[in-house]
Amino acid sequence: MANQLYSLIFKQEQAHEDSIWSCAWKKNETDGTENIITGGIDDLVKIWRWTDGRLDLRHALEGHQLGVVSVDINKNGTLAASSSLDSHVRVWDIITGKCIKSIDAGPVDAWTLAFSPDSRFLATGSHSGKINIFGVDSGRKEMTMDTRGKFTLSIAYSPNGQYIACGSIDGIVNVFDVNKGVPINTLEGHAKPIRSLCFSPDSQLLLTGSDDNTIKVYEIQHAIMAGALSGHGSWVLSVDFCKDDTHFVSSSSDKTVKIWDAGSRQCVHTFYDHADQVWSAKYSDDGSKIVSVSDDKSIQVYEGPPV
Amino acid sequence: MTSFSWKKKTGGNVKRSVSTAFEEDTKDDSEQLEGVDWLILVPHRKIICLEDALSKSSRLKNEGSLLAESERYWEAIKKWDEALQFTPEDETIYEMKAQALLALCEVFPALAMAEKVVKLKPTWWTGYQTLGRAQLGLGEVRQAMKSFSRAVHINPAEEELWKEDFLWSFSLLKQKADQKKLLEQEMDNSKVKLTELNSSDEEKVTEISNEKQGTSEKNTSLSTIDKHPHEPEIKYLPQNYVHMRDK
Repeated sequence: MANQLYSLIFKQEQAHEDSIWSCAWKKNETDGTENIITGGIDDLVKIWRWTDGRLDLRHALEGHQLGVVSVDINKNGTLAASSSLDSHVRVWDIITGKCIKSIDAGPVDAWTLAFSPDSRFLATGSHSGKINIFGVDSGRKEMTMDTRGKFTLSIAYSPNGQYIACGSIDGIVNVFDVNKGVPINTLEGHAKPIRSLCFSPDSQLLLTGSDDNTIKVYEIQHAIMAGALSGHGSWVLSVDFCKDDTHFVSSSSDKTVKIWDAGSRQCVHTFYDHADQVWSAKYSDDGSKIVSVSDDKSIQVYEGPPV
Repeated sequence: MTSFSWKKKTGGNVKRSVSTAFEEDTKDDSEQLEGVDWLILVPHRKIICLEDALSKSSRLKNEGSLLAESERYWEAIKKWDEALQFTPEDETIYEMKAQALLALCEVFPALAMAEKVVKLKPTWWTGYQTLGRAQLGLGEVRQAMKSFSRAVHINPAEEELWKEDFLWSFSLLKQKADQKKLLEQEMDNSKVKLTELNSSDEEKVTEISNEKQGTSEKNTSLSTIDKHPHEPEIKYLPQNYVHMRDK
């Protein structure tokens, strides 16, 4: 049954020269195109267009000098942002492929990044545990929030723009109130690095994926853990919520991509199609498709039941 | 192995007439048991193990590390090889072996070991760090950069990895790019050298220029490696240098 619901529909081999670390999928609201951004160790950011069941390479963007750690797309799908190992943040125009802004975050001061829901800011984690918020237009650091913790590995904006959550290398999650710039919660659920976290579309739940092979679900309002999901055989490298608020996807070092049901906390489907660690898996805007990227240099697109 | 028993002795004293009388019976017995695999009926010999494979391996491993600490690397490697007999999947032993081989300047075996480490455990950043160091030892700076990048990506909080490996090899690449630029400028300024080369051996020169910026690259690699004295007048570089390879 589950096999019929979910299937691999497209595979782009050798999408990058080497490992791919990050991906994002958004629909461009102005011209209605579906764009996928990928970034990898080969210093390139690539923009792909999803049309007629296949990927077309639109742009291969040069500019980063070291591996691209993280990519994200703004809400209306017109801008892409990428950050690299040398702490440079770049903002790209998805249609033209031009670099609009290049921000040097200073020595080792940018890791993963996330667009704010209003697309005006970019939040990135840093080595000292601080969260830096850059203005997309100004290209300057607008605000800093301090977790007083260790290296911030992962970061997420809540869809309602109210919270920022960040996961650190020692397994602690900090949730900040964006407007006040103050921490509201500290969640100590994992003992190992948190490589990915993500809010549910209604901003009520927070998902965290960690090196301890588990995914945990938190209720933001009460700061309580609503559930822990195990099933992956190795590190959980990325998590992403589906638009329908009930499903989410996770990818892992055990080479699998898993779809979960948030209500029953059960794994609904597992894809074994990658040949190496799967660094990132993301839903498309409408929640019907998933893209995943891996160390095996390929991009894969899966289809699920329509939402 | 001789063991004392009564039954064997009594068998020797049985009279021939008696034993022939019972011959028929014994034949029947053997026919019945023909289908039995005698190998499984052989009693197990007791082997007394003072320690199981895991603890033996870890003991050998620790002995090896002690030897390596006092810079007796070959002996250490021997110990680790022994340990690997018991636990062939233990990536930490391979990693230590790679480090010891590196210390002994056995770069190629070290590289092979390090590659094994990351194959066994791709989520262990130390493996990639050692792999990068081995590649650096071979002059493969770009590959080393890749390995260090992977290590940093897995564990970005390690200061030593950032500064001593990652940023350092990055600066090597930058240095090389700068040198290359400088050399190209110099080449542009003085074309005397070029004609000189042309006149000496035309074929050779065209061959070199057919390669990707052949001469200039080799010259830069020379100057970035401090060990070798830089002589501006060499026309042909000896082939036995460790060149810094690009791509």
